[in-house]
Amino acid sequence: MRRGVTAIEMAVTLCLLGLVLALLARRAASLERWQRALQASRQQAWAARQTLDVLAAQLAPIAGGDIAPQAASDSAVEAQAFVGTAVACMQGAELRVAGDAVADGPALASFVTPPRAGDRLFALDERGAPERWVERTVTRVVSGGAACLFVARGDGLVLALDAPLPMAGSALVAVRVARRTRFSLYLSGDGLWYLGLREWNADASRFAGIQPVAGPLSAYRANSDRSGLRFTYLDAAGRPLARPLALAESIGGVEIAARSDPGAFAAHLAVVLRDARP
Amino acid sequence: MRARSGRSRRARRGIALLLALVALGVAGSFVAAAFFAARIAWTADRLAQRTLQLQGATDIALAQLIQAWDAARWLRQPVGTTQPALEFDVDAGARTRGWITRVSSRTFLATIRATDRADSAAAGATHLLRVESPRFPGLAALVARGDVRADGVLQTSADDSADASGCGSMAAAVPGIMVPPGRTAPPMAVEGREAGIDSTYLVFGTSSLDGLVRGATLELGAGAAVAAPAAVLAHAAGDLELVGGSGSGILIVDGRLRVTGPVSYRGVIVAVGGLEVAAAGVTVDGLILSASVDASSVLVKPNAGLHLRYSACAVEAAVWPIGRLRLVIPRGWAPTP
Repeated sequence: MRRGVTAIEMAVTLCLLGLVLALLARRAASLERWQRALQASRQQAWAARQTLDVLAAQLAPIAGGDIAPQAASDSAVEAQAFVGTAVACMQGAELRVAGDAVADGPALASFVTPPRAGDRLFALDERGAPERWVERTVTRVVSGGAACLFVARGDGLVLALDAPLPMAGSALVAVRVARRTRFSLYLSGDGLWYLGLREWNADASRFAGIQPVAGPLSAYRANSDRSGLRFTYLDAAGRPLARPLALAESIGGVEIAARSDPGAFAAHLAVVLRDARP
Repeated sequence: MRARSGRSRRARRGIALLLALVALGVAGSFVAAAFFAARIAWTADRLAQRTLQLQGATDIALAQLIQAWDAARWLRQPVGTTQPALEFDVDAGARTRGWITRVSSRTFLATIRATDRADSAAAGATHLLRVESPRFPGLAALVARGDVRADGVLQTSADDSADASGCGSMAAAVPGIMVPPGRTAPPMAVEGREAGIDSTYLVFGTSSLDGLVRGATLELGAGAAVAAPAAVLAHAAGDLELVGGSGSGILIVDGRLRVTGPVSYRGVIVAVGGLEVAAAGVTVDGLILSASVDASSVLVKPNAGLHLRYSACAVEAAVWPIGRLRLVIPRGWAPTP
């Protein structure tokens, strides 16, 4: 009697085990689908947010005059993107960009990406009132040898310029390095749309090949809110400016809308140019 | 029989335990994966939010630094040096520190860094600051629009390198006396077109003579005879006589300035109606501008003595108290990694 009961118990147990495993497998499949959907949704949100983060970081430090008005469209912006800032020693047509100023203190130079030949250099000429920024082109970058009257350490960078700066009497000068950069929504070879970056190649006198920096985004639609990327240019008071833009100096901010399919996740951000003239 | 029954019970317990372990294992792995993913997302969002908070803290720190600007302290800071400027807690877990680097006599770089000890989040920024104050022409120790006559002793010294370390300015070497071409002056004087134009005596960078007069901190009546004033900006509405004493700051005299006693003055003197020295032992460290076009724009009488030493440092010390700190725009602000 006990053997019979054991056989029935075994049969029931096997059936129940099969049922439980089937239920678990079905649940697992649906859970995987749910996870995939969640991940895709997060990826879309991330792609749109990353697009905004990249553009905000690049555009916020620049001045209105650093945006090229003729190249400003609803899906592309060209600017003298921020590379770094420094307090440098002047030595003729060379600038010595030192490292740390004091122990446990700030560096006298801070670069997002290393400067290179072809970059634009803005030097603060404070002889007049108000002060102005003198533009030069970096022709050569040498690592080390940055020691000067104010900084004993010899590391850092030496930036050779295409012409000496006019502030001959000054020993130190505040400089900013920028690189001509173009951001645009573009169709990649894989059939998807991305935020693309093109940097100016001084040797070839043209922009280098486009590189994806964020995406994928929705496809381009002219002057549409459903476009993957849309730029609206604002004046200092936050009012939209009509394109084509007449004067770059009038730009006080850029409103950016990024959108990603298929969930049509959209993100908006208004970047106020910190260095726009009030 | 008892032994067989015991084996059977053990076998049944073994199947149930296996089932429970399989179920727990499958469910546990899903829960763990979901928890791990949620944890990563939460951490990333929290870090982004914290970084935004710290960026806001750097803006607050910059505002505090400008509000608490101590002109006298930063005037003494040598060019090319960096000093701590502020330090405060954003909240229990984050700290903000600020430094000031002197780039030139009037330009400073403020560096702010906010760091969060718990999340290792950080934000930083630099901002160029300018002290907007009158820019008196550093043409010579004495700039006169008319003739300079020295019947007594007139000594000029125009190398202020000894003073440079005291206020952080760079040493400057300028002529002792400058007059317009064709004017009479002692042999050490140089001729300069700038000495003959209005703006040298009326416009000082972004400040005008009229604007400075309107902001005078000490008003002296026409024809007053006083000891050398020690005031940020003293203005005499007409002629003024200095009978002795030590003074400092900026002195603007609408009429003729007569020095009849042993005066020691450090700063800037603008004598619209000219300068007359009738006493021995008169010393001025700084700069004198005489806007009079007369034949005796500057006159040192017999037995009198004027010892004038150009000092960019003294000029800076005189103009800083009326200076206004402002942000350099555009391109003054920059984020730091």
